[in-house]
Amino acid sequence: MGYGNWSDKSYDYISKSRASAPVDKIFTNVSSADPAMNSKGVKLRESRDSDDHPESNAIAVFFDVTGSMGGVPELFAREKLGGLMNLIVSKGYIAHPQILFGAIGDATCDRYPLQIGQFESSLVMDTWLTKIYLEGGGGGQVSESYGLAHYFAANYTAMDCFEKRQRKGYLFTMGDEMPWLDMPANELREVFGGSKISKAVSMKEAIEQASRMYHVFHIVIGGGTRHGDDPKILAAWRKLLGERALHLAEPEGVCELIAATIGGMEGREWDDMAGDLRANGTSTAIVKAVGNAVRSAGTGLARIPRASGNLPVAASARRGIRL
Amino acid sequence: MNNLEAVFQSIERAKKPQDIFGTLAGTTPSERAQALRKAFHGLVRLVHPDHNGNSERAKIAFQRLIELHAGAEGVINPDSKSIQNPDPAQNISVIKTPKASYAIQDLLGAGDFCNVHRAVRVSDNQEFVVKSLFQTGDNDLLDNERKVLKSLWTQTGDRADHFLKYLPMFVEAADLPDSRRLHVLTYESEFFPLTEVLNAFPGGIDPRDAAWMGNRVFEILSWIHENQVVHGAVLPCHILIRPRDHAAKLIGWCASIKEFGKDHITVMSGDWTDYYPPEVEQRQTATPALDVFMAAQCLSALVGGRVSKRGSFPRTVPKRFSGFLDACRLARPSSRFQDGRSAYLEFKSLLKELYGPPTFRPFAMPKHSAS
Repeated sequence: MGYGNWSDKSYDYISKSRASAPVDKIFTNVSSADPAMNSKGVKLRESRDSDDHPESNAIAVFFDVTGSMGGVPELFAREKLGGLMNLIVSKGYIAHPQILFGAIGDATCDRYPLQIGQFESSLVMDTWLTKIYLEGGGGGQVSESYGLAHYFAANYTAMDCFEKRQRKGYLFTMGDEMPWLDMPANELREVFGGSKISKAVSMKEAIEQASRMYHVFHIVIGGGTRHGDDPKILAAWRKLLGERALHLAEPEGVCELIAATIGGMEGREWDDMAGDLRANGTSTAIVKAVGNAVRSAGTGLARIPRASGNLPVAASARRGIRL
Repeated sequence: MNNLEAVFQSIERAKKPQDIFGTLAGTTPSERAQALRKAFHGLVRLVHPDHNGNSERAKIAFQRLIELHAGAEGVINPDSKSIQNPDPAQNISVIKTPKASYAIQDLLGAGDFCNVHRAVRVSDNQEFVVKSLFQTGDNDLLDNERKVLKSLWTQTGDRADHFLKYLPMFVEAADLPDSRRLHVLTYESEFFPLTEVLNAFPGGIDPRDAAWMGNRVFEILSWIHENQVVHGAVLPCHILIRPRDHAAKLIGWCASIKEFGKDHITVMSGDWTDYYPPEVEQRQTATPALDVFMAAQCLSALVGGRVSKRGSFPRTVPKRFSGFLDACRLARPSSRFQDGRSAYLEFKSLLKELYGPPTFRPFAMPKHSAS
């Protein structure tokens, strides 16, 4: 997976034709999850280099598709995906992004608590996006199984950016609810299939494991959703992710926030990125909301700039012990 | 062509240090280093931008000269200093961040997770420390160090003013092209780590000399503990001293904990495992008593005592002195002095009883080993 080129023009065409289409025309799976996105039996999702994309960089984006949040993937499909790719690639945040889309529900009551696409560099990523089944379920407990995304990323993905270049991928989850803090073994077996999973995994462990290969972020979506502005939700995420739990007051800015987060991690200053967003046609309200989210991240959005130069070293020199 | 033009051209054309510095005269590394220093300073006087109307050409030539000089230092001293790479031509290092360029100089130390180089900021020749990780997987350690140092450096008041000079200051962070993170920190000359003292005096030093070193360490600890920080790696390689004015610095903040009470220490130095108290390996919550234990280990080693065994000290160490150190090194954290301040006060009163009011006691390293 992960070949082909992103084409702005063809996406433009698709997106225009969708502007007024009803949801069930955009999302092809209206009554059940697409078998190709079923998490059960998943072996490995790979993000690999190719001739066209010699330095691929994995990005996994997981939507919350429970009732309150179903509008976000729709927004992506209708208009935002092009903007995200445009920002990331044309502004040079990352030269060769490979994006995997997935969807999260509630493992305690949804039929398809985890749906996962493939890493793609080309327009095919849009197909995965529209294959997502908007289950619209979720329980009344104000918790979703977000940790499935981290567990999946840690155990079922492989990527050249990390293996060949020690560059981490990006993992974004988003939603307006609390995470379930524990994932019982039977639930994991149910979601991923196979009998090998023998022990429960806590959300904290799953995030720790995913963080070895990914920069892990979560976006708490507020503004008009049911729970996202409740400070308790952000507090719960901050406990897990520190400043990498972002709060976004404007649901329409998710895509821009993902781009700005990546840009920040790749060394862009917020002021420059705000200019990029405006040039991309983003409304002032969204630029402001994204700016607040980025700033609230403080040091969590490391904004570590790139240095040029060479400090050669043998990794074998490392003698420290991790406990 | 005048002399200056010839110098500019030769710097611009130079591909490797030898092209500009030639084969340096001298048989020993120190003779050759001296020859290099002389040649370098001569060239600096000619091409420095200040002497050339700040021209672009001079700026570029000057930076290149610094690169070549750094490379030449690597050629001269390939084993201990600045070189990890067998090909010296590869080792001409200038690290350029969005804020500044740093010409990498000698290797000050190779830690468990990173190398620490002295570096010169190209724009103004100011010296800094560049700390670069061996692998990207450890980037979080520098993030932790940055978080803790920044939080301490935001403290204000007289006590903060006094104690912050015992800490390095964070300058900037950047990622190398291969994503390994680096930190630029302030550098002060004349400081050297206690490891050098241990190497120079294998049998230990006079406890009266260790006294001021211990005082400094417990003082620093008392202040960071007041600010809820546990250092977590108080080791000889992380305690720098400057005998001239009995100054000290505590460096190496990667393992530290910003607000103690919940977390355990998550990294250990592979070279100094015997300096750690048992709660570290047992992953128990870190408390200030952990730093007290490790500081006492350092002091025990300094006076010639055994690190891994309590009660084992040379006869020159007064019983009460060793007794104090052993009390700091009890296995149960709750049995030790609970923080830097209580250990410091006890140590101070003990010194007074043993040796009278404090006096300035000059301490000198043997000539060949002082750095």
